[in-house]
Amino acid sequence: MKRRLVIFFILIALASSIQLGWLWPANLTSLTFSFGFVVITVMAFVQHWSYALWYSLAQGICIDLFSPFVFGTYTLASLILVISIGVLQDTWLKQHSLLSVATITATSLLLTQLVMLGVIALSEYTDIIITQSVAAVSILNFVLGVAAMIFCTLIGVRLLNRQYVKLI
Amino acid sequence: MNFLQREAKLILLAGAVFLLTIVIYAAGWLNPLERWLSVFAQPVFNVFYASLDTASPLFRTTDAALRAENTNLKDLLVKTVRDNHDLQIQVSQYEEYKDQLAFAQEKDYDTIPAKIISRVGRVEINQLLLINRGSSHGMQVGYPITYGKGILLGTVSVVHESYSEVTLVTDETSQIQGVVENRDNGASGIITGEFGNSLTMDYILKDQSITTNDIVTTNGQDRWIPGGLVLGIVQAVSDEPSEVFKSATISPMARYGNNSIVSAIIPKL
Repeated sequence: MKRRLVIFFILIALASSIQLGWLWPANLTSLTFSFGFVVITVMAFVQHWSYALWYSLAQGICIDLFSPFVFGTYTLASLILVISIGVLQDTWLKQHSLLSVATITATSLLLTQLVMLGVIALSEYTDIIITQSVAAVSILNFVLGVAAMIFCTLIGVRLLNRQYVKLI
Repeated sequence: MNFLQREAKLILLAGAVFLLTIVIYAAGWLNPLERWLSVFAQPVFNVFYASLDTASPLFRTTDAALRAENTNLKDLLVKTVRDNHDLQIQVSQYEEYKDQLAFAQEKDYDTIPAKIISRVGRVEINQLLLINRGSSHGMQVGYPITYGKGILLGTVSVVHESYSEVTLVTDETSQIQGVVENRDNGASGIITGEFGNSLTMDYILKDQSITTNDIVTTNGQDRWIPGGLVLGIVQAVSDEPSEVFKSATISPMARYGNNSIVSAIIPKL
């Protein structure tokens, strides 16, 4: 288990490094990739619910303390990520396939992003965020970031839970 | 049993902690923690952002775009300040010319608007002005140049094709017939320039009335110069028993600067 955790973190770090721009040309994902969300997602998939929830709380509070947005935005998003994965697992993860994991991850991340966008849209910084987002983040950028997160989650889930062997 | 039922206690506990954190933050109890975290985390963030700056073309591109935008905005600011300055001058000139136009319309004068372009020539006493209208604009020698609401600045002494020289009323060679305004048996006399900054009214008959603060205007007896143009205000009156005539010192009313708009009155023939 320890060895697998080490491999998982090395792979995550490698993937992060790649998508941060040292090796991979599609390096514009750096703004939409969140290492913390990957960790939370993997914990949820291996059903360490208490770890996942407390980690998401701790991470969300830490980010919120630095974030210019309304306090609680990131904490709420992290909690929703864990809960949505838990709810979706009951319906879509009966096959224990990697495709199910990818689908649930994508759906949960999308839901999380929508929650965050909803909260941010209500904040006083809406204009600045829209301007900066348009300037810095493209659709491709966002898609690549999410794809990188799903990819890292798949690796983590596969390493930490032997049940997930089927591709589809 | 589904996820929500299985983990209800845990989810409720996490939700309660979340709400409690929000309340604590709203009460301001997390502010010290926020400050301390910032102090410790800022150096780490700086290193992280610096490495992103060097590694990611996104950040380089964004920085370059921001620098370019900053440069453009600075250029725009300089241009705006310059435009604003020009606009203020134009507004000021318009305000000046509005009075002149109103005066010309009231008196039914035809005028040639002109701009003072410099004070050259006898610079030691500033008695010559150059205006940007010349013979090609219909300017002729002798035309009176006014400022504001009919204040006489001087007369055109030399006309060039595109500009003219104006001898001011304060020039020592200037001689204009003036009269005290709005007074029965008001004094009249010859007004000449003195020292470049004042006027003297001479040849005032002893029985004519003149006191300080009287307004002196042209009397219309000079060729080209209509009556009623303001020359100045009487500052002092000299009435020596030994002299045949009285005299008075007149303070000119004209206040003008470079870029001021003036009007040349075209005499009615």
